Amino acid sequence: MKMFFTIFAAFLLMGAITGCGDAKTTIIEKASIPGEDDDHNHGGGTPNGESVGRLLIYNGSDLNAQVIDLADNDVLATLNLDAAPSAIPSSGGFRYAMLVERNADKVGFIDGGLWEEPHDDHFDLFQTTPEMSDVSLSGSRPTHVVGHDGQVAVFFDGNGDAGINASVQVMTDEMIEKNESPYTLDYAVAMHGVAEPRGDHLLSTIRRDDSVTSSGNFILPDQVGVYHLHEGEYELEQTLEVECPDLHGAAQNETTVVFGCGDGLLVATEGDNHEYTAQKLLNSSDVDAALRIGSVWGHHASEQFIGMANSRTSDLIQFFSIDTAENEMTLIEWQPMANAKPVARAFTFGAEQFVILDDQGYLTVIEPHMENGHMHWEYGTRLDITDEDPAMMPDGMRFTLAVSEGGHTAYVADPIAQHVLVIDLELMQVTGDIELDYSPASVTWLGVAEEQDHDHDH
Amino acid sequence: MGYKKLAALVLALSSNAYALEGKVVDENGDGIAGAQVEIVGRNAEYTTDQNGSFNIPQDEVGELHIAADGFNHKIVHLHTNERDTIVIALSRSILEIVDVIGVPIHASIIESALPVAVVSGEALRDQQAATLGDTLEKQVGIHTSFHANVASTPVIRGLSGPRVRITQNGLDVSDASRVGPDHVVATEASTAEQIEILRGPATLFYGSGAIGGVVNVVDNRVPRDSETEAHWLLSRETVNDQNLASFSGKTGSDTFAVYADAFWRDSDDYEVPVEPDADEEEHDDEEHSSDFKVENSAEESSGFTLGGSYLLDNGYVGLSAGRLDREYGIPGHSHGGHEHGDDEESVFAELEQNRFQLLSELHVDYGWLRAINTRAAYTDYEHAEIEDGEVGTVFENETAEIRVDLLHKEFDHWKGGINLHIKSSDESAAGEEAFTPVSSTETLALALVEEKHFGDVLVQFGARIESVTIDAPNVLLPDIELHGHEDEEGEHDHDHEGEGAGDTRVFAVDHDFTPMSLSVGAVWEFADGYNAGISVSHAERAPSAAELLSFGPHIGTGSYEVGALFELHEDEGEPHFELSASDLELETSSNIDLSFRKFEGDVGIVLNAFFNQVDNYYYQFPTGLFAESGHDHGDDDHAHGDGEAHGDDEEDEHEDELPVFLFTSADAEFYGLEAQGIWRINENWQTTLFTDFVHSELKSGAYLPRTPPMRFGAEVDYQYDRFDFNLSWIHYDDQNKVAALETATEGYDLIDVHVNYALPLRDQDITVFLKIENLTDEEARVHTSFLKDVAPRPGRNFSLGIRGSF
Repeated sequence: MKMFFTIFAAFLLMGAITGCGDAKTTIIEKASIPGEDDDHNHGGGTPNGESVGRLLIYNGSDLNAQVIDLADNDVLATLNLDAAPSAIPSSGGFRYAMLVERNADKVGFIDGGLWEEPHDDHFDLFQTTPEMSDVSLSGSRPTHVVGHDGQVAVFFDGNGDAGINASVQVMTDEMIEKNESPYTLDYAVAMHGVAEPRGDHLLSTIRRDDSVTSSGNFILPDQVGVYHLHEGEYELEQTLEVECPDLHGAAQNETTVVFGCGDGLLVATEGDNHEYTAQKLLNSSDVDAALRIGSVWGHHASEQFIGMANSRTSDLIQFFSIDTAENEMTLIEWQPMANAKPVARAFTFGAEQFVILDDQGYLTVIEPHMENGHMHWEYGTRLDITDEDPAMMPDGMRFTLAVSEGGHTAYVADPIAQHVLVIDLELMQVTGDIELDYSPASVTWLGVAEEQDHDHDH
Repeated sequence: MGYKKLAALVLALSSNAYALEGKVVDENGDGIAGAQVEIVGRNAEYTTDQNGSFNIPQDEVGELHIAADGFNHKIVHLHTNERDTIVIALSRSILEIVDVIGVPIHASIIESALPVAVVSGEALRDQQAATLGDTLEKQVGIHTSFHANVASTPVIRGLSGPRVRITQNGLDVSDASRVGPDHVVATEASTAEQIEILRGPATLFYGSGAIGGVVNVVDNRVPRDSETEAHWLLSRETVNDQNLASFSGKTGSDTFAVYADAFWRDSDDYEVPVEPDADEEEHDDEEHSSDFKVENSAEESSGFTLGGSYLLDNGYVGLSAGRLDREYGIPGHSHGGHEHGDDEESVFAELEQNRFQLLSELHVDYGWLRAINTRAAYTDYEHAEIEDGEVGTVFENETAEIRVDLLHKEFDHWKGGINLHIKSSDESAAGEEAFTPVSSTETLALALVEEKHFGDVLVQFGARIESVTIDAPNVLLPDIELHGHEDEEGEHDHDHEGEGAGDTRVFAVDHDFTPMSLSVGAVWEFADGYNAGISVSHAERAPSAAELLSFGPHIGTGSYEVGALFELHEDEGEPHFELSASDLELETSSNIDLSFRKFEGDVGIVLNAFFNQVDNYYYQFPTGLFAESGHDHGDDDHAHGDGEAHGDDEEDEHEDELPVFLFTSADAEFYGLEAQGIWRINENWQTTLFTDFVHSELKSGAYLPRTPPMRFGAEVDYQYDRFDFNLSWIHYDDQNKVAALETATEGYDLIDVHVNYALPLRDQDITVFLKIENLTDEEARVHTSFLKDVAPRPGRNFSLGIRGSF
C-alpha cells in the first residue's frame, strides 16, 4: 500500500516540477504559400481562384475527355473523341491539350479555354468553354512531343517500310488559335527522333546512314543538328560533332540541351550567337551495365537534369541527377517500395521537387539539397495515394500524373478508385478529390503558367 | 442464470465448512429470490434461491454488495468469523438503480456525490433513437443538439462539444462529432446494453475537462461472461419511413465467451408539421397545406461487431472488432436558406469506422493490488462529405488508446485505485471545408479515485493530471477578405480586387498543456432512504485542436471558423487575422453541486442544484465580419432569380459568404436546477414529474448561444397484466436569452404515448410495442440545434415494432 501512495506522490511531484496547469505554445513560421495570382496583375479580370487552371481527364472507355475547372471541380465540358490518343500532352502555352494519335498519323487539339494575352504592360485573362479545335497536324507516326517556352515540337517518326520520312512540326498556341501552318523540318529518312524547340532554333536529331551510324538500332539517330528558322522552315546550321549512339530522350533548361545516348549523355550548351558546343558525359560506374539513360527531364529553374536509366530487358530502374556544369551524374537513391515501377515522373512547379509516381500507388518526392556548394537530389518523402489494391488495376491502365504550372499542386488519376486526387506538394497532403464515374486513363493540366519560360518533360 | 447458480452451488459445496450462509429479505422479512450477492473485489457473484438464501465460502468475504430489482442496493461489511446466518434486509426503491460499469468506485443514481444516470434495459429500448443526443434527451438535465434527425449529441447542463466526453466501453469514441454538430456520434444505441451519464470524481478516470460529463455507451462486445442471451428488434416508423432491425447475442463455454451484434436502419426524409424553413413560413399558403419534409434528412446505416473473451477464474480477457457504416443527408447545407425542392443539392456524409477493442478485468492478490482493469482500442474513422457526387471534405481520425486501472485493496476502508491513460490521435480534414489542419494529439494521464465511508457519510475524491500535446505541422493562415455587411457598394467593389491574392502563411504549432483536476464530494445518508450530497471540483481542460487551429468555412455550423491561435487586427480600417499575441490559457472550471435524494417508499425525489464558474471558457465570438465561403454551388442564377420574392436583399447579395466566428476565451458562469419526483400510487400506477433549467452567461453579461430552455414534464405509467401504457408530456419553455446573431425560440409541448404488450409465451420474452411521438403534431424548434430555423422536430410519428430476448 505504501508503494501505491509512493507512486502517486511521485506523480504529483512530477506534475509540480513540470508545472501543473501549464499551457505552453511554440509556433514556428514556415515558408508561405503564395497567393494564386501573386505575380501577375490580371487587371481585376480574374475571378477568384480561376488561375488554378483546368484539368483534362481522358475517359478511355467512353472515348471522351472532360475538362474540369480546378477552382471548384465543376465539369466545364465533356468532349467526344474520334480515336483513342496514344498520349495527351499540353501545348507549349498550356492552353491546348494535344491528342496524339500515332497510328492515325494525326495530332488533334482541344482548346482548354483558359489563356492570357499581353495587353500594353499587363496580361488579360481569357476564359471560354473548352471545345474541340478544328486544327490538326498530320504526319506519319507522331511520337515525341516537346513543349518549351510557348512552343511545342512534334516529332513525326515516319515509316521506313512505307518509304515515309520523318519530320518535325512546331506550333505556338497563337498559331494553333489562328490555324496557321506549323514551322516544319523535313528529313530524308525515317527515324525515332526527338526535337527541342528554342525560339528560332530547333535542336533535332540526325540519323546517319546505316553504314556509318554508331547506333546499334538503326532506327535510332546518333547525332544532333542545330536548325534555324527561315520562312517557316528549319535549315541545318550546325551539326554537333559528338556521337550519341542509340539516341533516345532529350530535355533542356535555360542554357543546355541534353540527349540520352546508349553510353551516356550528349550535352549541348548554348554560347554566344546561338552557337552550341557539345560534349559527352559518359555513364558513371553507378549506371547498371544492363541499363541506359533513355529519358531525361529538365526545367528552366533547375541547373540539374534528372535522367532515368532503364532497359526493356530488365526490371531495374535507376534515376540520376545530371549536373552539366560539373559534368557529372549522381545516382539518386529513390528508395522504391517493394515491386514499385515508375509510371510517371515530373519536375514540379519551380523545379522545387521531382516527383515519381509508381505502379504501387506511391508518389515519391526527390528534393534538391545544397551541400558544399553542390546541389544533391535525394529522397524527400513519399505519399500513399491509393487505398486500393494496385493488382485491381483495369487492363491497359495505370496511375497517371499531371503537375500544375501555376502552383505547387499535382493531380493523380487513380483508375481503380475512379477519382483524381489533388495533392498539395508543399504540405504533401491530399487536399481534394475529384470523384468520377469512370476510370480516368490520363490527366493533363491546362491553364496559365505562373512564369512564361519553361521546360516540359517528355 | 443457470450457469451462475450451478457455479455458486458447486463452489459452496466444494470450498469448506466455513461457508457463510445468509438470507436476503424485504421490509416484511420475506425472502427475495434472484437477488445478486457480489463479493466486492472478487469476480464472484451469487444468486439467492427462491427463499432468498445464499451460501458462500466465508474465507473470501470482506464486503458484500447485494442488489435486487426494485430494491435499494446494500453494501454489508462482514467481520471475521461471523458464524450465524446473516440476514440482509433490502428496502424497496422507487428509483431504478443500475450500477455504472467499469468505474473503480461504486456508482449509481443514489450512490454518488454527483448525479449519475444510467439508461438500460426497457428504458433504453423505449428511448433509443438513431442518434445519441436524441436517445438521451429525456434524461433530466440532458438536452439534444437535434440536427434534423441525422446527427445529435447530448447537451448536458448547457455544455456540449469537447466538454462532454463520449466513450464506448470507457474508451474514446474517436470520431469527428466533437468538431461539428453535423457530424454524427459514431456509436449505436440499438445494440447497446446501457448508456451511462457520469459526472463528478468518476469522470476523472476518463479524462479531464469533461465538465459537462461523460457519456459512456456500454455494450457486451467483449463479453464479461458466457451466459447465453440474445436480443432482437424490428421496427417501423411512419414519420420518415424508418425500418430498423437489430440483433445482439452472446454465448460460450466455461472458458470462452463469444458475442455478435448487427443492426441495419434505413430512413427517408422526415415529415414536419410546417414549412421547415422558418423564414418562409410567413408566405406559406394553401398551396402547401401538408406534406412538408426536411429535405436531405434521410439516413442509412449498418454495423456489426464480433467479440470473444477468455474467461478466467479471476476475470476475463477479450477482444472485439466492430464496423460501422453510415450514410446520412446533411440538411440545411445551402446558403441563405433558399431551398426549393428541385434545385436542392444533394449533400450527404458517408461515415466509416473500424473499431478494435481489448478489454480485461483481472482480480489479483499481489501486494497492494486487488484488480487490474485494462482497456485498449484502436479506431480508424473516416467521414466524407459528398456534394453532387463529388467528395467535398474528408475528416479522418485515427486513435490508439490504452487505459489501465490499478485498484488497490481496501486500506483503512479506503477503496479506489489509480488509472494510467495514454491516448494518441491523428485528426485531419481535407477538402474545401477543411477548416481544421492536420493535427496529432498525445495525452498521457494519471488519475486517482478514492472513497471511504465515515459512518453515514461517504466521502469520494478524485485527482487527475494530464500532459496534452497538440502538434500541428501546417497551420494555415490564409489572407482572406473580411468585411462588414454595412459596407457601401463602392467600398465593397474595391475590396474584391485584392481578394485571395495574398500569401497563406504556414506555421508549425506545438501546444503543451498540463491540466490538473481535483474533485471532492460527500454523500450523507442522514435518515433511512434519504441522502444529501455535496461535491466541489476544480477542473482544467486543454482546448481542443479544433478550438485552437481552425481556419475556414464550416458548413455544418454555417460559419467561417477561426481558432483561438489567431486574433483580429485592423490596419487602416481593414480587418485581418494575425497570430494571437496573448498566451493561450487552460479552461478552468470551479464547480459546486448539491443534491438531495429520497429513494425509498412510494415517493422518490431527486433534487440537484449546481453552480459552475468557468475561467477562460472557449467559445465562438461573432466578429460581425463576413468572409467568402470559398464554396461555389454553381447555382448562382437560381439564387439571384429568386431574390426579389423574399425582399431580403442583403441575404442574397452575400449568398456565398459566412459570418466569421473567432474562438476566444472569457470567463463564464453556469447555474441551474434539476428536479425529479416519482410517486407510485399503487401496484399499477406510477407518475413522474420533472424539470430542469440552466442559465449560462459570460462575465460580460452576454448570453451564450444554444442554451437549453427551461422545461418541465410529467409522465404516467400504467401496468396491467401484459400491458404497459405510458403517457408523457414535456413542455419546453421559450428561450429569450440569446447570444449575438442568435434569435429567440418559441416554446412547445411534446406528448408521447407508448404501449407495450408482452406476448404470452413460456420461454421467450417477446414484446410488441407501439409508440406515438409528438401526438399533437406540434411545430417544435430546438433552441440547442444549429438547424433550428430550417429543421424542426419530426411531426406526429407512429412506430410499431417487436422485440424479444431469450
